[in-house]
Amino acid sequence: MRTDDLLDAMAADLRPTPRGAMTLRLAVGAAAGGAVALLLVICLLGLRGDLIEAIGGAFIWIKAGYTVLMAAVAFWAVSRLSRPGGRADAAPWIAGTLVLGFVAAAGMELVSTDSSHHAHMVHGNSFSYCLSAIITLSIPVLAAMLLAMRAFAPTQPTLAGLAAGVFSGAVAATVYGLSCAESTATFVATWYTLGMVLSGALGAAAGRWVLRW
Amino acid sequence: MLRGLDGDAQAYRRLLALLSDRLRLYFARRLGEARDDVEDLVQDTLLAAHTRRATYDRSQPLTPWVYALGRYKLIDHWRRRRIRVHLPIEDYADFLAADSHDPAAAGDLDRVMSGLSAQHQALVRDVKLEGLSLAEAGARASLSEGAAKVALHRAMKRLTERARGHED
Repeated sequence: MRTDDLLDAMAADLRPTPRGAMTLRLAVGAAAGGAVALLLVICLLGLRGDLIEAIGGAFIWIKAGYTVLMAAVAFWAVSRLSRPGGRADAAPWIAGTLVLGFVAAAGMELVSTDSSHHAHMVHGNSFSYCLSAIITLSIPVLAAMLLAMRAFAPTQPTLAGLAAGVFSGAVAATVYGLSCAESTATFVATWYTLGMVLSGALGAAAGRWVLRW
Repeated sequence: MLRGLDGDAQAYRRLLALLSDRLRLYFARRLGEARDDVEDLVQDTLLAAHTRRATYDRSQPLTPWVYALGRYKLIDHWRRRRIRVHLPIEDYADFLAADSHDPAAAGDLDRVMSGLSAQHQALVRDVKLEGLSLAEAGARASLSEGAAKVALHRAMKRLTERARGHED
């Protein structure tokens, strides 16, 4: 095909691209994936029995704040890395600060309690369940994000996948928080964080292949 | 591009023609003689720019965006063909020379070297920076090769100590 013909064809194919089309597309993907994860929590895992009382307390909001902030950072990184040549150098620092902050809170909690409770505070009642739930719930979100990102042009597919993975892990952890009755900072700092890290790794592995163009 | 994004097909067609010229140059410079590949890559990149035009940030300049697309396609092309390109170093002489005369690095060097005696400074510059042999550098500083070796060793040791001191 001659290049001139190609140019004509592309000019003929042109449709207006609204401002913010990319962010919109990502947001739609995130919302769709998040909705599926929420539905899964409600139908399969069930909301925590004491949800109404818990909402009155502070801890469920702290927990949600942690994961929502992480999701926000990761979403920013995704939208940056979806552009060719895009970088998100600040994202790891912000995310690291968030994790450190939460780990510090967990440390203070541990110091202020008797050491005989420590093992229980880390393991809680449901750690392996919690971890696998977060990773499972992150999969629909990750799929929706990667699908949206395939239309973009990430020049660092692995890194973009990592950001998408952390985002989906954070969204999954947020909705899972509605089902999970654990209420120690130590538990959240350990297992929620690990869940987000592992889904990040999953995203990086997937992105490496899926996001090539 | 902005008018193109808003749907002005004529402006968009002109832009594409302009970009294809730029990209042709860009790829030709990097691929050398493989002319068919150049045209393929130009088409590939333009197609990517067209289908992924939503990734262009209106507040940013256009050329870096286009070249980022082109660069990705070029790397992909090399990876697929498993080509190891041997670029003639003469083409990069300017770049390399510019690099070694980085004013910031030169400033650092002067600062670290300032703690040495004039003779030691001359030895370090001659041997470590300009690549003279010990014998040649020694002759310049009117030392025997052995004495030059010892002096250089002392100078380097002192430099290392000073550099460590700076880091701490």
